[in-house]
This record gives sequence, C-alpha cells and structure tokens, in this order.
Amino acid sequence: MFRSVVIGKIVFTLFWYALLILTALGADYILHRLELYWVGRYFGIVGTGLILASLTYSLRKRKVIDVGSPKFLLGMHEGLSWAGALMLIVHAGVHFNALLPWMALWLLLIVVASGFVGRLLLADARAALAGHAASLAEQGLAAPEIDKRLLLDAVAVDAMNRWRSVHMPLTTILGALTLLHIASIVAYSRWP
Amino acid sequence: MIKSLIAFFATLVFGAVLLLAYPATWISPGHLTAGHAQINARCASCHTPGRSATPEKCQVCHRVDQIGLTRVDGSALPTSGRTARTRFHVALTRTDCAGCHTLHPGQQARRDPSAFQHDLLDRATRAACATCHTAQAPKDARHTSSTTQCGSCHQTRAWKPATFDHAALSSAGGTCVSCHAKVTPANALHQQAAGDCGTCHRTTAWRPADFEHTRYFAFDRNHPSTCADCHKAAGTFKTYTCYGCHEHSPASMASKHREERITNIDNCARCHRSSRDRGEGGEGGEGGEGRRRREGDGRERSRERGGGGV
Repeated sequence: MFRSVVIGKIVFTLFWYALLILTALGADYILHRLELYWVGRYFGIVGTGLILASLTYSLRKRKVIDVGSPKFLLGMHEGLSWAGALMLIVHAGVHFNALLPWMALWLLLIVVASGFVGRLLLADARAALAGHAASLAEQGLAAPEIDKRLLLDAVAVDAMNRWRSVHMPLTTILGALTLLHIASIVAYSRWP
Repeated sequence: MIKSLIAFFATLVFGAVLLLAYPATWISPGHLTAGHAQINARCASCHTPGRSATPEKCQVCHRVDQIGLTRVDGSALPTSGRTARTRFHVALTRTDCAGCHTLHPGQQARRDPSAFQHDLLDRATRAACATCHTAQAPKDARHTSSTTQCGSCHQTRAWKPATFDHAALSSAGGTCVSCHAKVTPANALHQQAAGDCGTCHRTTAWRPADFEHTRYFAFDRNHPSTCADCHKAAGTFKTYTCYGCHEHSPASMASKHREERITNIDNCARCHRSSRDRGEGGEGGEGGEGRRRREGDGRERSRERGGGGV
C-alpha cells in the first residue's frame, strides 16, 4: 500500500521533472533554429521575475504577509517557479565557461527537485504511512511491533523530510548566486 | 528562517570574495584569444564597471589609425592580404569595437559578420564594397562585366535577396537567356518559347506570369499541335497566322468572308476566339461573348497591334 502510493508519486514527480528539462531543451533548440537565441538573454530577467513572484507563498507561509489563500498561493508557487525555472534553464542554454553560472544552474535544478519532493511526495507518503500504521493497530499489533514492521517506510519518509527541509536554505543560496551573477553582468557586460 | 538568512549572506560574501579574487574562473565567459592571453585574469584591462569593454580601453593598445599598418608592438604588418583589408577601420565614423569583436572565443571570437553596421563607414568607403569584400567578389561574367555599384542590386545585410533593375541594361544585344540560361525552364511549352520570355514574364519576378492564351484564342483538341503552327515568326509570339493548315487558306477565307463584306481577314482572332466561334455575335455564345468583350476591352488593342499574321 505504502510503496504503491509512493512509487506512483515518484513516477509522477519524475514526469514533471523530465518535462521541465525536455521542454527547456526543446525551446533552446527551436530558438537556435530560428536564430532567436538572443531571446534567451531576456529569459533570465523574466524567469527571475516569475520565481520572485512565486515567493509570495513562502512569505504567506511564514506569516510575513497575511493576504491570499495559502492553497491558491501554493498553486501559484508551483506554476510560476516551474515556468521560471524553465526560462532560466533556457537562459543558461548550454554555454558555460565559468563556475558561477554552472553552480547557479545546478543549484536551480536541485531546488526545483526539492520542491517537487515536498509537494508531490511527502504529503502522500506521510498519509500512507499513518494509514498503514492505523491498519496494523486495528489488527491488534502492539506499538513496538508496528514500528518494527514500518521501519523501512518510516526511514523513507524521514529521508524525504530531510530532503524537503533543504528547499528553503538552498533557495536562499540560489538567490545569493543570482545576485552575484547579476552584479557581474552589470559590472562586466554591456546591457542590453 | 535564520539559517536561511545566514546561508544567503554567507554565500553572498564568500562568493563576492571569490569573484573578485578569481574573476576569470568564476565569471569569465571564456578564455581570451591568444593575443590577449596575458591579460586573461585582468578583466579591468578592458572592462569598465557598468560599461563593459569600452573603445577607449581597446585603443590604449589598438590605435585606429594604425589598424592594418602596424601591430600593437609597432612592427609593420604586410601591406597586402587580410591585414590590408582591415584598413577600413580608419573610415569608421564611430568606434564601437565590441559591436563586432569579442575577445572571449568561448562565446564567439567575432560576432556575426552580417551584423556589421555598414552605416558606420563613411559614404565613400561604403560605396566601395570591394575594399573589404575582395574574396567574395563574384567572378561570373554577369558581375565582372557590370559597371554598376554592388549597392545597386545588393544590400549590406546579405548578398541575397538581390534586386536588379533591368532597365539599366543596354538595349544593344542580349536576351533574357544571356543571363538566365541556367534557369531556363526545360518543359515543352517553354522550349517552344524561343527566348521571348517577356511575352509572359516580367523582369521583377518570374511569377506571376500573365500567359493566358484563352484571352486571345481558346485551345481545343485541334488547336494547336505546337506553338509554331500559328506563331511562325521566330522569337516572338506577338504575331500569328491561321493560314497554312488544310482548313485555312487565304483564298478560301477570302471567299467565305466576301459574303459578309469583310476584307481584313488576316487577324482571325479578332472575331474568332476559338475554332467554334463563328464570329457572328449572335446565338452560339462564344462568338457573341468574344465580340462583346472586344468592344470594351482594352486588351484588344494589344492584340490588334500584334495581329495580322505574317
């Protein structure tokens, strides 16, 4: 029961993650074929803006603001950050010559992955684990026996919990790298 | 939250230190070209914060008036070949080095040449395309015999598409095929056209073509077998004759038309728009229609001009 739910969610999560990567590669390919690769430069601004807008949910969750339905803001957070990440991957393209943009892109992918884990996996995994424990309790099993049987599942949920918890710190590090990237562009490049 | 803020500021400070200490490793878009390798880690040699690489900094080493003449160390450059062509820089009305050049070949050593803004050149240099484009100058007879400037037909953005004002051609000699031999259609219809392309086509474009024989004479299964059956004069389709086959002879036609008191019987299509057109203008459709069209149709004038047979 637990494993079937979690495996189904993992497949679903991987699908969205793969879709993000493939869509970015497809968009990059099309822009190059149409000789519109320069558009990717501006995708950096738009993508960053979308991700900043998606942080409204984070502010609401931490009660920095108190307007907006959390459920609505969460949906907006997911949609805008997915689209923003897509644009930033296209913005990065496949042209890397320095560490900073490389690190920023990989961190972006990790942050997106941690977000997927939190949203799509963890909630259902927790519910499935609780349901399984309740079912075993109804069968008359003692608590130590239930813990023993659910040990592996509990470890899996705990691992996801830890993975989820890095989402926000990694996001702030990504924000710092983005600021450094913008500062270096302003300092050393001609814009626009 | 506190941990996140600490991570943010720690990354920002640590990253800024690394960027300032090792800019080439952390933010350079690629190593510099071989000639600039010695300043690889000294970004400020070319870059001015907020203004990128400025022409003023480039000109510290690369004096515009010496481009194509001497190297940056003062030694002389060859007076012919590629380096000589770079002399056009002297004619630039505005210096914008980064507009064409980038020294980080990790991106591209030189920007797209087609992006070169020719309006940066003074008028005289801009008109003399071959000053720079010697290697690309076409060698075919059409171009080598031309005395007009490249800009008459071509644009600076790209060689093609080109426009060509045929009116500038000398009227002496030469036909369409003289230049367009390689694109002459090989199908049966065009093979019979004998080079008078202008009958149907214009000089601005091959299509649309205005060949519509029905306007003059509608074909049927007996008319014609070949173009030359009617258009016997070489090189033109503006004249024709219906005489020469078993059905039509000047004598028989004169006899038939005498009853109608018609004496001008050479321009048959003036009245007969098809082999079934009796030319009476009454019932029977085609003849009447043909005659009605003729009365108010300006096209008739052009047909009459060419009509009359041979």
